[in-house]
Amino acid sequence: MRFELAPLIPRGGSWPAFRARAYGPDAFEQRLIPLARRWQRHRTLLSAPRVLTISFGLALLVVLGAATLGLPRFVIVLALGVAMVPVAALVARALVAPPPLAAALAYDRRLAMFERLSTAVAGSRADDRMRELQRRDAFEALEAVNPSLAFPYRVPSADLGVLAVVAAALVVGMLAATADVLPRLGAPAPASALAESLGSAEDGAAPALADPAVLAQIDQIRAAMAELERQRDPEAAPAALAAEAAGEALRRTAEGRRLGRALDGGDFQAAAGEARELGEQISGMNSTRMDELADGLREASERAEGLDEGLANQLRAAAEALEAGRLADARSALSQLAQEIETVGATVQADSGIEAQLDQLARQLAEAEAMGGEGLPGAEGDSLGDAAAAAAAAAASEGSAEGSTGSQGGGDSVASGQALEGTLETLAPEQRLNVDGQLEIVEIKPTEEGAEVVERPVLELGPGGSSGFEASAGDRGFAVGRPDVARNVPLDMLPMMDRYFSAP
Amino acid sequence: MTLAVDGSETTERQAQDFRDRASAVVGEVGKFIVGQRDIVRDTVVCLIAGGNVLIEGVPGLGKTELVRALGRAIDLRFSRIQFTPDLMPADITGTNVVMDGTDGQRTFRFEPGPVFANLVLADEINRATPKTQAALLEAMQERQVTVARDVHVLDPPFFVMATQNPIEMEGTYPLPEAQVDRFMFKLVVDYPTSEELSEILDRTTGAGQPEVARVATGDDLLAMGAFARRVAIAPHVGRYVVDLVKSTHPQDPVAHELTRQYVRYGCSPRAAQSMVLAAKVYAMLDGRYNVGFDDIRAAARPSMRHRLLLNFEAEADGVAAEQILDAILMSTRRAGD
Repeated sequence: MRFELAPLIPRGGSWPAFRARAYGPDAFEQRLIPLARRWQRHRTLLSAPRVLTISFGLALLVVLGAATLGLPRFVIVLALGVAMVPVAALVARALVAPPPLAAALAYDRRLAMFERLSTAVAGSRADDRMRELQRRDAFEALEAVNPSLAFPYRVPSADLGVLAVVAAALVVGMLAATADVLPRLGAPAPASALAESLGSAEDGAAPALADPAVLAQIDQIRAAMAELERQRDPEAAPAALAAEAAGEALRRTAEGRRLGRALDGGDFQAAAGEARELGEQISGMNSTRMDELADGLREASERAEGLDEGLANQLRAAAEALEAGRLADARSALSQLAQEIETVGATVQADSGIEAQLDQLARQLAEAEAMGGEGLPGAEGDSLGDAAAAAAAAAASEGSAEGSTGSQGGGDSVASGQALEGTLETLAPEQRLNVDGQLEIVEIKPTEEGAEVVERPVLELGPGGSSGFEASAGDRGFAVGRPDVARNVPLDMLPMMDRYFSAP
Repeated sequence: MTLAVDGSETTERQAQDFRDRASAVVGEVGKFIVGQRDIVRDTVVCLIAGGNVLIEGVPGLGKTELVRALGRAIDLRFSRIQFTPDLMPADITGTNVVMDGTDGQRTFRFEPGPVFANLVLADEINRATPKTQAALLEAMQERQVTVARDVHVLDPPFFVMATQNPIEMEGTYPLPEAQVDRFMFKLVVDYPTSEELSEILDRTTGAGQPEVARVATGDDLLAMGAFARRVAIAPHVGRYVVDLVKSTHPQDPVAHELTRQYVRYGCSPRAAQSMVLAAKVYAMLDGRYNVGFDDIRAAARPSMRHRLLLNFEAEADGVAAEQILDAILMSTRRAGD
């Protein structure tokens, strides 16, 4: 059956509706059209609550399922769209006039009209006069019909009640899914839900799932990991490779063998010493050995090129000086090479330390999450506890020495006001905690005359009268670029110092 | 806005006349027969539709009086045949008798039997033997009688209104299926109610007897029957009749479950014809020009109950044709359901 939109502009206050062309132009079927529309809307309205209830129910299941499985939100939007399809279908159905015979049968049945209307629509084999008489009889019956009484727009309240409940459930479900408060399969519980579950077991010996501090610890571990990742030197790995490559090249030469082994083995301190020793020995070398060493240095330079330009340049400079026979320049170049090796060593070792700590933190985080936040291991001397404490201290924004004690390799550290077990003394020599409690990698530059040891009375701990950028260090170097307060003063003493000593 | 009415005034007047005459007949019979309104109406419907009626009931319920009252209300030649076990076919159809002519020659002359009337009352038809019962077959269906190779046409209108006692009674013979099928309706007369019985006593035991006036003629009946056939029946209503009849055929895919279990032979096409014709008369009596589903349903039981031949299982289970028909009428879907 084909349909056309008629009329496009509502006439007589009626809504536009699709009219079936099956309706004939005569008075009877024209009169039947509004009645047919009425019946169509009536039955659409009757079926609407059930259709919508089923549709909304399915949409609710999809929404809950999508939220539980962690599917993207467009699935929820899609479910909403699917739920709206029956609504559109109902509206479309209400706008379409039904086939005339169906409408006529509906009124026949509803008003006990003994098939007057349907016979007039369907026709019969009766003679023309009888058929005419029958249609007139049907038309008179049709004119007496009050469609609003025959098919009132009334929906059973029970159906409406069920629909309202399901619609409300759908709205709540969508809000919950949008707000991410629903539990997800395979994902850690949301912080709020976990906190709720924690609250109930605060006072028991039961698992630390009840302890809100566990959540804070997890957050601290994550923050510390993020901070360590941020502090990793991207040039450390290439520098290590460059040193290894250069070491391989130098190992093949007689004079550079020891230097090459030290570099290849990652012993940068020894390598620096070997480089300085070579510089002192070159005056006693003959030209053949000098050329061999120069070739080795040049090959080492070529291998290090692209990985660590500084090391490659120093190697090349030494090789060129040897090839040219400029012994003083060669000695100086080898000395600078030794310094460069130390710098590379510091960078590589610092990165290795961070990597080791990241591994430890990753294990702690996995363990804490797997146990549902059942506390962080951190008994005395526990290395995991140490790492957690260090990381927590590094991540704590207000970790300005508030509650950090270190005694006999074990102690408590506090981040955000919470006590954490662990020590601070596992920091690598080049690692520092600044005054904000942030972990920093500092550049250590050895001095020619070794470490400067400053004797201080006990009450002179701290910055004292030293300049802000030349704080002393006890590891044969000095920190560059920052006052070295945190390294020399135990963090737990800083409050006391702030109280009794004025700021420098 | 009005429909064209050219040529329909006559038809409308005929329809009104139809209703008036039918109502008058029913009213006159009603003067004589207390209660049994449905039986009276259905009997009149059969007369108008040109069908024969089989009325079943225990003795004394007024079956014969009903037919006699009809014979008086309608100007028809009326005859009554009391069926007995020794009744012979010739006693019904008539026979050739030898006549002495004035010239001394003997000739055969056909002496018509009581079947040569417009309205034949076959009283207690199932008390005659099947052979005698079958004497009515040709008359009922073809409106003619054949005796000694001579065909004698019955004057129209011709109706057979038979009464029978329930088959369970002593001294009865079941009607042959072929003959039963020729009855348009089988009406079952039930006992009167208390009020009706009191009214019967008042009317029949007093001094006066109600007079039945002649309000219609045989030609009127023929005209009414022809007019009723013009009543419109929509295809979906006709389809409903077909579905009803098919539901009684045990081998048919649409047969009802009870039909498959208890029916040996279903209704013949005559059942459908009877239903439609009766429904058309019902519609006219109701002032309509079309047949409705309710007309069909009203005609369904009297049209089909005697055409449904049940099997032994039905007899053993005590299942009656009425129960099966009720189930069929309940389950058969109508257009728009």
